[in-house]
Amino acid sequence: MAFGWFEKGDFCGEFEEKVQSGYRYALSLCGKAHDAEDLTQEAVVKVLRRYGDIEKKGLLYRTIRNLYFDEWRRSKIVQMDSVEAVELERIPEDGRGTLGREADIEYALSILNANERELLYLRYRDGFSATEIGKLINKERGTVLSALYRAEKKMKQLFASDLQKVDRK
Amino acid sequence: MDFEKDIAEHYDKQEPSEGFWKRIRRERFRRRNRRILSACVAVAAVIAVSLGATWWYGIQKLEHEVFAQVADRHLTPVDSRYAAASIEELADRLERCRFSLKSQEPCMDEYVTVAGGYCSIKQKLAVQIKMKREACGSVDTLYVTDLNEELSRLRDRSEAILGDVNLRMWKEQDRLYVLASSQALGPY
Repeated sequence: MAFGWFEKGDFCGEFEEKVQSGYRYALSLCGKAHDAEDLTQEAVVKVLRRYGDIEKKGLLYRTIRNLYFDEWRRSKIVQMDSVEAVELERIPEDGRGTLGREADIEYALSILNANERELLYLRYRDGFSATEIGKLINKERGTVLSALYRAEKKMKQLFASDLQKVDRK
Repeated sequence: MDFEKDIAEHYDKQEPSEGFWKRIRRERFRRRNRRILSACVAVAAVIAVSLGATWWYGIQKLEHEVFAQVADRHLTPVDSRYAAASIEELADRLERCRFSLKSQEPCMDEYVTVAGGYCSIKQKLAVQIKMKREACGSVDTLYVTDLNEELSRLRDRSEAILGDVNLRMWKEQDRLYVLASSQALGPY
C-alpha cells in the first residue's frame, strides 16, 4: 500500500465489526451469502465515498436497506412484501426436523420473506427495540410490533409443525 | 420455543468470505489514501497560494515604497548638484558612483542632461539626474541605482502615478532606473 500507517493491523477493530454486522444484516435481507457480500460491499463503497468512514452502524444498515429495496429490486428479482400485510405462507413439510437445530433455523428463515427476516434479525440478533427498528425502516412502532408478532408467529408455527413431526416419530 | 436465541446464534455464525474482506480492505485503503492525498494537495495549494500572495504583496509594497520615495524627491530640490551636459560628464563627476548611468531605453533619447547629484533609494546610494525633455521643455528626474537583493525582486517594468507625478520604473542589467515627471510620460 501507498502509506505505511494503513497496514493490515490498522484495519481491525470497529470498522471490521461494523462491516461484519452490515453483512449479517444484508444476509437477513437477501438470504444468500453471495448476494449479501455484494450488497454489503456496494453499501460500504457508497458510505466510504460519501463520508470517508463508517461512523455509525445505523448508517451502513440504512444504506444497505436503501440499496436492497431501491436499486437491487430493479436489477434483480426480489420478492417484496409489505410489513403491514404479511400473510402466513403454507409451510412445506419436507426437509425439516432431521437436519438439526441450526439447519432448521436456516430452513425456517429461508421460508420467511425479506421483511420478516430483517425484523427478526434486528430484534433478536442486534437487540433493537421496536422504536429503533421503526426509525430504521420508517414505520410506526405499532406497525413494527404487529409485523414482528406475525413473523414470530410464523416461526413458531414452523417449529410447532416440526415438533409434531418429531412427536409422530 | 427459544428460537430467538437460535436466530441470534445463527447470524453470529455467518462470516463473509476472505475474498470479501480483501475487497473491502482494498476499497477502504484506496478511499483513505485518496482522502489523505486530497488533504495534502489542499494544504499544499493553500500554502502555495499564501506564499504567492505574500510574495506578490511584498513586491507591490516595495514597488510602492520606491515610487513614493522617488515622487517625493522629484518634488524637492536636489541638494548636491553637479552641472553636466551629458550623462558621461556627470558620471565622471560622481566619483562614488560605481555603476553605469547610461540607459539603453529609447525614451532617453528625448532628454538632455542638465545636472545630477547623489541621493538614496531604500537606503541605497543612488544618483538623481535632472533632464530636460526637448519636445515639451519639461524637466524630469531620472534615478539610477544598482540592484541589490531587495531591489532585484522588483518587476522588470512598471508604471504609476502618485499625486501629480508620473513614474516609470525599469531594470537594465544590474541597474534600476526610475523616471519621474510632472507631465505625462510618452510610450516606452
